[in-house]
Amino acid sequence: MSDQVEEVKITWTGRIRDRAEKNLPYDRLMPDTQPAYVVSWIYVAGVLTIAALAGIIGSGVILTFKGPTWWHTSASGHFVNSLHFWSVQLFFIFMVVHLWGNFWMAAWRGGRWKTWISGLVAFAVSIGAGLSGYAIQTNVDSQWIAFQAKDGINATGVGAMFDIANFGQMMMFHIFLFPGIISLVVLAHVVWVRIKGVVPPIDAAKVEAAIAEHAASTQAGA
Amino acid sequence: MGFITTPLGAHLFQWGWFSVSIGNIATISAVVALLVLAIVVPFPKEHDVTPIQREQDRA
Amino acid sequence: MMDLKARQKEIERTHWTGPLRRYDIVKEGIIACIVVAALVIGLSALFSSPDDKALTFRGWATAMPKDFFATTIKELAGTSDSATYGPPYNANGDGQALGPITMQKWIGVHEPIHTANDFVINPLIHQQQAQIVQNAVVTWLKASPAQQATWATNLDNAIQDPKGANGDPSKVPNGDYGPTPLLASGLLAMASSGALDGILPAPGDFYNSNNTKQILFMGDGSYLPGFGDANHLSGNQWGMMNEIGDWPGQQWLMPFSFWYQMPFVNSDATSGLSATMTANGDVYVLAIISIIMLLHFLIPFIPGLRDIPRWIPVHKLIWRQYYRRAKQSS
Repeated sequence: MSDQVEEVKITWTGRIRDRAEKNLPYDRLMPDTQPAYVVSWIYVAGVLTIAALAGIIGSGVILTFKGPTWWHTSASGHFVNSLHFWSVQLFFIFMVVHLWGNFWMAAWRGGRWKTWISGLVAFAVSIGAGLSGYAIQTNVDSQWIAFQAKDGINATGVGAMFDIANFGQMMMFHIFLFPGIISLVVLAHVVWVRIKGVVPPIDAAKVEAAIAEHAASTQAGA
Repeated sequence: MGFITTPLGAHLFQWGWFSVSIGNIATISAVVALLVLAIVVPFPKEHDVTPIQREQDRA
Repeated sequence: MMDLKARQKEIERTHWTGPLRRYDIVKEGIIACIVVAALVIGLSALFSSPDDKALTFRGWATAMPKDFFATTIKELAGTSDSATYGPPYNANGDGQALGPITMQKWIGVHEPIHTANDFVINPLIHQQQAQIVQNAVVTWLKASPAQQATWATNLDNAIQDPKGANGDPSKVPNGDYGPTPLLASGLLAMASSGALDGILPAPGDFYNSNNTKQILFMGDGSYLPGFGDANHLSGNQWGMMNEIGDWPGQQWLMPFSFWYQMPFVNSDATSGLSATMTANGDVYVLAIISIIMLLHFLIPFIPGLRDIPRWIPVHKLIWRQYYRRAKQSS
């Protein structure tokens, strides 16, 4: 039974819901199948990056409850800081593997340029988040990084509104603005992947043609 | 580190090439290794079932 | 019969109707979290994380009192790096220029810092000082800006004279220095006692959350920069991506840090293109990085760049199982 008469939505909510239902039905949002070409370990780099981001946020939540200097005087605090530190290292390691993998798969094909650009935006914003995090460690590393980084930031004029030596400002950027932006960008990125699907192989049409040709010649021979 | 006292070593070290921390060398190597392994190591076959085709995917 | 290229484009743009395989996105997410959690906990237990104590003005004054004294005079004379920095701190310099583009100057002063008042006079005023230091402060404040500049510059020149004191304040000859030697020794005493660490960020205030003044003042001397050099953290030691000791730093900044190792931003020349690029090194490197980043963003639209995966077919390795199985099923 097909929809021969489509109700024309006039409400904003109705129109948005229509688009969502068309582009992102539940079985695309939460699939239990995927194209047969998704057979490579390179495909887990993206989800590992997200898992590392979850680690960053989780350890960050604990640090939030205890304040920024707790970890200097507490062994468990230092351990939680280490969890945060290594989550960040793994986050960038997996992200770079994910970026390189998708470059070699030319994953921007088929109109997936928004996914590509949002991924790089997430990378760029993450660098800023990381920098602000280093600036609020409240140890000599923070002092050194503030002293050095200010010159590059000031040289572009951005230093007028982003003062890396301003602890209070960097704290607010690090635990509020940057994570907020990253979460939204990553959400958009993942939604676009689900809407468009995983990019097909560069030779998909050739493979399809070869299969069809073989099937035709087999039938002809039978 | 005798290499640093050779002319080539002194030149490179002057530029700071060998100032990269061991931790950085490890993490950068990890990125390269993971990338190569992810591409080269075969994906387990047992997770494949007979390819299925969904009725609603047929146009 | 559709041409292969057109068919490829169609396959890429439309929902996949070819063979499928089983997938469990929720399970994959949970397994990834468990794997990463195990890695993170393991790495944390094995290697911990760096935590070297912050440097203090007390440490600086105790370890390098002559350097502290000399830097204080530079702040009074307006010849320190901070005093001559330019925007966003003051208008005593133009900042860096990328040819005709001077963003630093155009955007202007938004974090005003007057080194003599903010680093020296105000902290001295907000703590009980010995009578001779109090008198020195009064003498300074009563003098005209021109007189202040003369005193401070005389002493600064005497300290920095390579044929004379050569950086050692205890070796300066007598001269017209006004109250400046007492101001500097008063501040040195204040720093040695630990009081300057607490008072400098916000003299007279209860709360402070902005450490800019401290970073700038400390960076003008040799204490903080000396720490950086000793720990391979300076710009031309891959410092941008290094970390203290053996820990990994921000290695994702490697493409950025790379340019600071190049001779063209590390030149000793005093004139010419090399000198210009070195003096404005940050903005040149940032311009290079911005262009590279922009090219990355626009790869989908740049012919040539977007064809590299076709020319260097790593994808044949990535999708080899699919290609093989497709051959087998046919």
